[in-house]
Amino acid sequence: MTTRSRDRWRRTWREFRSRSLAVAGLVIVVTVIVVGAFATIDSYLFDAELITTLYYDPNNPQFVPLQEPSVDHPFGTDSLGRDVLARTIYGAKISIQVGVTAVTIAATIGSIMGILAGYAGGYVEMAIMRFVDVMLGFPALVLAIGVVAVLGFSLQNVIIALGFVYVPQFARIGRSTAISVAEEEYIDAARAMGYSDTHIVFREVLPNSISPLLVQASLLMAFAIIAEASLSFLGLGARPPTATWGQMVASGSDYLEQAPWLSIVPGLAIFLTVLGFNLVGDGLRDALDPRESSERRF
Amino acid sequence: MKRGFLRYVTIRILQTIPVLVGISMVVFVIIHFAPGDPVVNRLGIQATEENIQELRRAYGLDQPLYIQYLEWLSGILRGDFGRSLTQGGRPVADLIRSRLPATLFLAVSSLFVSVVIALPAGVLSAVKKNTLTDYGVSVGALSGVSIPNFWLGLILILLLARILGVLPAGNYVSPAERPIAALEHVVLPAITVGTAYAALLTRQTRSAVLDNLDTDNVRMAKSKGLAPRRILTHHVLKQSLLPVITVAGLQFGYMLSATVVVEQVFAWPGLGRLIWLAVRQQDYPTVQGTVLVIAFIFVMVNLAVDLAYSYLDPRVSAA
Amino acid sequence: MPDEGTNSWLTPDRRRFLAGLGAGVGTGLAGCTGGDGTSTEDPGSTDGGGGNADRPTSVSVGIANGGWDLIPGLDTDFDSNKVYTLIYDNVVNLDPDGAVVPELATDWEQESETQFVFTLEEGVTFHNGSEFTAADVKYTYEWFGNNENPRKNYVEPVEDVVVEDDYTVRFDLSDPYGPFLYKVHAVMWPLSEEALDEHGEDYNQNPVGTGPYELTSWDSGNKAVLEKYDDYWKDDLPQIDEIEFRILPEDSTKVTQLETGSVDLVDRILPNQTQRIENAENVDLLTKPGVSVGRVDFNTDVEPLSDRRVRRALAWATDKQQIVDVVLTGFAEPATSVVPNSSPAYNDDVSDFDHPNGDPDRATELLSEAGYEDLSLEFLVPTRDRHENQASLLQSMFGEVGVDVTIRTMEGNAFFSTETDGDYEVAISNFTWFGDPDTLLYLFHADGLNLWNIDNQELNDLLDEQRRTVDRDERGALMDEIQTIIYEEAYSIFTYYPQRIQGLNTRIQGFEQYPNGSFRSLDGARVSE
Repeated sequence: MTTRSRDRWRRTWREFRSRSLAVAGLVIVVTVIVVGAFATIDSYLFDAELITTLYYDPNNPQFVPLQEPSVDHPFGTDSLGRDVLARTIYGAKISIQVGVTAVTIAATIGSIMGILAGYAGGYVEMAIMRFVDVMLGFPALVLAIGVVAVLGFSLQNVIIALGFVYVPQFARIGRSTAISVAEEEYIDAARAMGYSDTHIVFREVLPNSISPLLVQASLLMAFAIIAEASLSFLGLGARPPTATWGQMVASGSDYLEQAPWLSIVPGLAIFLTVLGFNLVGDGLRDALDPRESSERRF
Repeated sequence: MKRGFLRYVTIRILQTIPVLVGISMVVFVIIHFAPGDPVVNRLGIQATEENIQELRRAYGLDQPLYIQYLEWLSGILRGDFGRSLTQGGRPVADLIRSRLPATLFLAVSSLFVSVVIALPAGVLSAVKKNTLTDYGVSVGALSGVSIPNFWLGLILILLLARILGVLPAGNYVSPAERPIAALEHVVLPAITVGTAYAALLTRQTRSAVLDNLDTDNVRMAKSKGLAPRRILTHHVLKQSLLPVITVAGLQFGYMLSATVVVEQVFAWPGLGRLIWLAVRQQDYPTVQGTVLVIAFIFVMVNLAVDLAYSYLDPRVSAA
Repeated sequence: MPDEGTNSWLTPDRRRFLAGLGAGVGTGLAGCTGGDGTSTEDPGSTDGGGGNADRPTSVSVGIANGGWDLIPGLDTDFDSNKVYTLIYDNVVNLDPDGAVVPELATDWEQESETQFVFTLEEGVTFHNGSEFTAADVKYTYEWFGNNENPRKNYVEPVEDVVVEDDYTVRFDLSDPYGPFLYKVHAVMWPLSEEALDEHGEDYNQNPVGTGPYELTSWDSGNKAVLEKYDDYWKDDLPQIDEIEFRILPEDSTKVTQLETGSVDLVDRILPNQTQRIENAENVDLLTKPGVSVGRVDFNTDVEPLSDRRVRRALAWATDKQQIVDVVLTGFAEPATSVVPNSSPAYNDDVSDFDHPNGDPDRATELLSEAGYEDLSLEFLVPTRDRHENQASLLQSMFGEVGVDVTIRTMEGNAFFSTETDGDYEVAISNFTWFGDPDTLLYLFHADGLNLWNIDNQELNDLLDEQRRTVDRDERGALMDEIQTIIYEEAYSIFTYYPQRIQGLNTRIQGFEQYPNGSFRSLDGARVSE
């Protein structure tokens, strides 16, 4: 990294830190990621032994169903007799996994496409941008539902679907930064010095695209998490016994009056997590460019 | 100017065509790769090789992909969306037609709710920039986009329909038949869909008003000693409405996505439930048709907003 | 959102198949969907309180699917028969206990093992005015032989149908066939040749039967109206003038409409919605043993499951009572046999595995005796709440006896074909069947659908024998024996018999519940003001 960009990051962080809402968002995001990471490690490496030892097994229906929240079960038990807190913790795993992987896929494919379009221009650009226009012609969630309908209902397919539908957002950003960077004088200088296109793209264009991509990634993370929850709520996401927040809200909705906590708790978890990512995204954008107005695209 | 506008309209409409064609291709290709052979599925377990080939020919499935696409597309253009695999072979176009009113009614009501919330909130927030009010509105707006709509819907049902019993929990009533009851029934779903949308519009209104508060016109009006209220209504609001409308149009897809989910919560018999049921039953022709229609609506709304914008703001068509 | 395990795998592929057929029939519809297609309120059913005796009585019924095949026997969905059983009569009927009773046939006699003679009711007319005679029965039989339909094999044992006179018809079978009368019930709903010829492609909108009601309007995907047939042959029936079918595909909507009184009768209510019905003022909750059985299939081609002791040990490990209480919130009975408890053929003697609670200790013991201490198995589960919930409970129950379970979920159709292909270890699902138990039992024949990959010679022989046995008691004894073997070999664990749950507005009297949810008894029901 050049000194120039290191300085800028330092300045950004200072800006970011001065915004209390952004910091609050960061705290939420870090908390959810830590919880999600714990659940991920526990489930893949220890077969849920850790959480079972420390607390309760999230997937084992071992208690009296529909217990009210108590000291023993702070969020009560669900209709099958599983601890709701344990399942909420494991739900973080799915939300974070989907958010991170889907957004990474979309960001990688999208920014490569966008940078390529912006840098190469001509027919390449036209083809890519027409494709982006077409993709943006679909409401994101509706397209994701269509993709999942064909691929089948599973966690993996939700990730693929969301990774696919968020490509255009990144492609647009990639393209616009590529174009603006390509117009800079130092690119011409680099070219004049005989650097290859690959070198220029990787050394100059990409680093300069990172901050807008980062902002977009954070905001889309919020969206991917809501979208995953919506798909799960509709029964089109990861299937039981896998605990996902959306599906917990859905199955709790049968007991809305009898046991409202079943829906309220996982819904709050979604809300706070999404709010966290939104706050971080907003804060990051303002910190990167404090003058920019707060218009957003979804 | 008039001629310029007409030219712009023509160009925009022409530009929309390749997008629509592209959308139809994406939908066709996605569904084409659905698992399972539709012919084998139709014939059931007694399908013989001979029957399969025969039916394949009958359905034109032995043709190259692009021919199949063109035939499908020409069907769509004639209003033939194929037939549902699960609903007794009912034409998909019929199904969509019977569900469309409910979705449009919900979408329009939600739009109304969100505008009623967003305009005052956004203006207030801009006028009182950097005060506690502004801060509160911003946090509220951010919460609004972060709240999962299906969950909000359930909470509203629990509080207002089940516990307090003041409003019905959704349950569509046709506005053409019983307008008053229809409005009563649409309140909760419309708030649910409208909340996130209101949040988006609030932010947009705020920044549009802020931009316009800063123009020469306004400064001039101020220097002339016009009342602040008058300046706001006469100069700022009028100017701010344009970008707000644009964003409302651009984000309409978000609204359509939201209705798909919220219809499920409120048992609302619209396109969202149609697509949900079709997805659950692997009724691909219905999924295909519904996704296509929703995307079409979205593109058309965008086009309409774009044209309205250019009509209201001559600078666009001149460019 | 939960939905019922409607995906009885006996039919899904046929449903698809039928969709193709239905496609030809629905053509005339596009033009007649005038007006707003989605109203959900019925002005007719909200009573103003006036005691006008002449006012036509109307009942409105909520059903899930809107696309019907109104040629009886052509249907593969769960709702067509709810409509056509009111439009047609059949030659013989099933009563609510599943026994064969007279309908258009006043009587029948077995002249030999392969000859059935039916005496038909006189003075019966079709809705188009033509008289019903033995020739119509023969025509209906031929229709099923000549046209593409999913129940062609039902008429295969019949060699010929002979019209002896206008009111006497004889069925000649090629071989003695135990399930014959049930097959007659399933497809012999006399059709009018004249009407089929007249309406051709549009027949589905103009069905003609001899039944208590005529279809008078059908608004695609929204509602259909049946009106009383004035010349119905049964005296003083039907009493209700009009039956409106309202299509409500969503479970919760159905219940809401019932609560608000805009529909009067709803079938297939989910156990978790019953509370709402019980709280509603003018609605009765009706329950009755149903026609379904929850099951856990073992693939005997898979190593440890080929061992009878392992399968039995897993049966011991299963607490059926808990499944009934938790998954079906008590609206079910713990199951034993493959035949549902509502069937006359149900063998109520089979019981073992410390029914219904199971015994994990005994299961552990049996597993270690068999030499399997660290088993791991994979459940294949369709994406339905009920099955997935049961899978979760079983995972925990099996875990308790040291069997490690992973769960693989799959969409209904994919599930069905995967299980049929034998690409599974343990599969969780349910059977739904009302009619002759042969259909269920013969699945266990090596030549049947045989999901379990078994070849039990004793079972094969008994299954073949019951098919040939026409004497009811003899056949009953054979079927008891078959059920015992299936149970004790534990090819499947049968976990629950769900109840048929319906909701009925209290203003309707004289409605009788059928295990399969039929609305046929509306023909004798009344509306009280």
